[in-house]
Amino acid sequence: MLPLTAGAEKPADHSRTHSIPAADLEDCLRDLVSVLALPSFCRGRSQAEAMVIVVDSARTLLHAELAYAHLKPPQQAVEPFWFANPEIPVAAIRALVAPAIEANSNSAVTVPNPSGGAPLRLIFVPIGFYAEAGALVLGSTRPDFPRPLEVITTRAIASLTSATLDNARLLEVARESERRKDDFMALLGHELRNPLAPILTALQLMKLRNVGGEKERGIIERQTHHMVQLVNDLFDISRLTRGTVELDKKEIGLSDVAAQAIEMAAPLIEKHRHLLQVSIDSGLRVNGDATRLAQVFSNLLTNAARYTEPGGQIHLEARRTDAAVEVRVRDNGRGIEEEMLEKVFILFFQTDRGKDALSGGLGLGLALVKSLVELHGGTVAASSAGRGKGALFTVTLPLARPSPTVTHLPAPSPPAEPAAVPRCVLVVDDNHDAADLLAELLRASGHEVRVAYDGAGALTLLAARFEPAFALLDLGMPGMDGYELAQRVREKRPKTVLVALSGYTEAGARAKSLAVGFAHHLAKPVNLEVVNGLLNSRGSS
Amino acid sequence: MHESLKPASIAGAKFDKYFHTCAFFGSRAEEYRIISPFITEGLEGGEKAIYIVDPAILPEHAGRLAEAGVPCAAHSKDLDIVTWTDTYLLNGKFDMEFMLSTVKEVIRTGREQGYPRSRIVGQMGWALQPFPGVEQLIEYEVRVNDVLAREQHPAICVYDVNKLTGSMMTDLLRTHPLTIIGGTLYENPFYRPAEEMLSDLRSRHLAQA
Repeated sequence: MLPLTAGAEKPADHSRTHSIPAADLEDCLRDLVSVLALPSFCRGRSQAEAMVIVVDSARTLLHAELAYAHLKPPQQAVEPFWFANPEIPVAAIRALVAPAIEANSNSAVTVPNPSGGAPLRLIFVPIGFYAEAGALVLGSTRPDFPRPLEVITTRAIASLTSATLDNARLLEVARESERRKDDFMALLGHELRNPLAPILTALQLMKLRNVGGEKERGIIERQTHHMVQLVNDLFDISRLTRGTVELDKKEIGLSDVAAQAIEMAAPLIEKHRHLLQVSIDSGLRVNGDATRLAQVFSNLLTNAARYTEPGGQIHLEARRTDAAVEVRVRDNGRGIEEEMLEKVFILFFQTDRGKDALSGGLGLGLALVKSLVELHGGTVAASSAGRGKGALFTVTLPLARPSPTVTHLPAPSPPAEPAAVPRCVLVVDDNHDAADLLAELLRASGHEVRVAYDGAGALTLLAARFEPAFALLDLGMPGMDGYELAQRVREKRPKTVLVALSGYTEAGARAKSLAVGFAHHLAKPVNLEVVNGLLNSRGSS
Repeated sequence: MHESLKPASIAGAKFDKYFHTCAFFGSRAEEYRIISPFITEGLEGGEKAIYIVDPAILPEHAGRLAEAGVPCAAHSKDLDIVTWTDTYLLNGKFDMEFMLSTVKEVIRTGREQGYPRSRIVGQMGWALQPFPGVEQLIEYEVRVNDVLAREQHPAICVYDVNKLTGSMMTDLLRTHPLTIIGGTLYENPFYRPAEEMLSDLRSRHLAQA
């Protein structure tokens, strides 16, 4: 509780309010506007950050010479304070305010001033009932501190601080929950990739050996690729939400991006016998990541193909507006109800049409589109005249600024592909299927391959005088992981080229691999052509 | 100023009594969302607009304004986009007197060119960096209040809410009759008059000395 009167501990005399000078009342009202802004100012901040702001604001508003925040667990490690003499250490401030916190009363406590001079009058300002959220201690050398109007300001600060801390706490809980969800999605994507790798490798092997019925192989291949696509979308969403997506931005022609997107969406468009009409103004250029923008437009085209009855019409149009490029994907499909238009870009959102077996999907595609477009500084919007009346998605991207013409010197001819050379290869993966199948594929390409299922097994092979030219190591093995094994292999076989196999493909994961001595970092499921290309090269990164 | 001019407005509030707004934004997107209608309203009314920006965002600024609905932002003769280095930080330092003269000059030139009013928006990120003269900021904000009130031309000082301290926020709120923080508009009819705030600042400087 706060003292209701200035200095002297006696009941407030409200009949005397009229005697307060108008200028003081104006000062108080002006300061209350500042106090009202505290929750807005603290929006999005943690409890600790909010308290730093509250302490700093309170001491300025009350012209206090001391302001200290006493917080309750688990925030008590944070100790925001301000004292007019910056040379006084926090331990001395803590000792100074202890009597006021101990008293926990509505009376000002007088303590000696550590800077010398007049003693400090300290007031205890509880935050929440019984100071459940903590308290502020404010101090001044003024003998009349706090005056009645200052008490009002202090009460307003305490009240809004309580609401601010509540908001901050809820935000922290929400952020923590969001972080756990993102971590889970990243882990899920990684775990789903692991079994997909041997399935794809087995499929490649079946094709190579021409075993299994062609029809059945086709089904497995299509379904597996669909699954790979879903897992990749999960991975992308996980990266976007964690802010780890890196764009390879450069000036690119929109027609090239559109061509790539059409190629990606073509199988579904052809499957549903849609008519695709394309109209792209010439010379449109944007500053962006060609792969990611192709993903954006292929997602929109795939979406149009998926939600349009067979034999429908899809239009892809691009034109220049004032300082932007506008790309529109229009269909005459099932359309979207007005109330759903805003929601279609929300992660995991499914309209009723999403329940249709034909449609499928996890509600990732449009969320990905929105995030990627926004990363490019653009916007995306959906519109529809309603059910059965088709849908229109409009992407707006900033136009690339014209760059000076660059004259390219004629490039020398690339060196000829080196001939396939049989290599001695070590494959290490705790997923037996993945390791065995990759080994079989490499053997089918003419390489000599030895397999181990853990670090110890790999070291045993090396101890038995096995001298691989290449070592393909899974990074996520239990016990000795791929990084540690790489170091051990380097100690024993410095000439062996190390290749990391991982479900994690972010730049950070690649950088970590290269830092410990891997020459290459390959994403699972590995592509046989890529591995063969590596083995046939000299092996440098 | 023209008698027939409608009051300028920002975020639903009219500049009829006060002409100086301090806006705290949490992101550039929020800044463009709030400021663009203010600029558009002026351009559509035949007014002049001056947007003082961080040189780092200059390449994309006109495009972002256009996306946010400002007509012909990239090549409008009615909208001047200039950088800190040509205004607040000319010669690498903040000179309050020079900047106050610049604001007056901008208003005078606009009037001579036939514009009924000029709207000024200034990104203030420089003020949170250790440039020489930056300690004159609050005094500048106080004094520019008077200039704008006298001329009745609206101006918005744009700050990054994430970089302000509690005491700076308090001082800025005390000196600005209108403030936008976290998407909420605060009107402060009791904002501290220039002389009073300057006297307070001087006494604080003396106390620190």
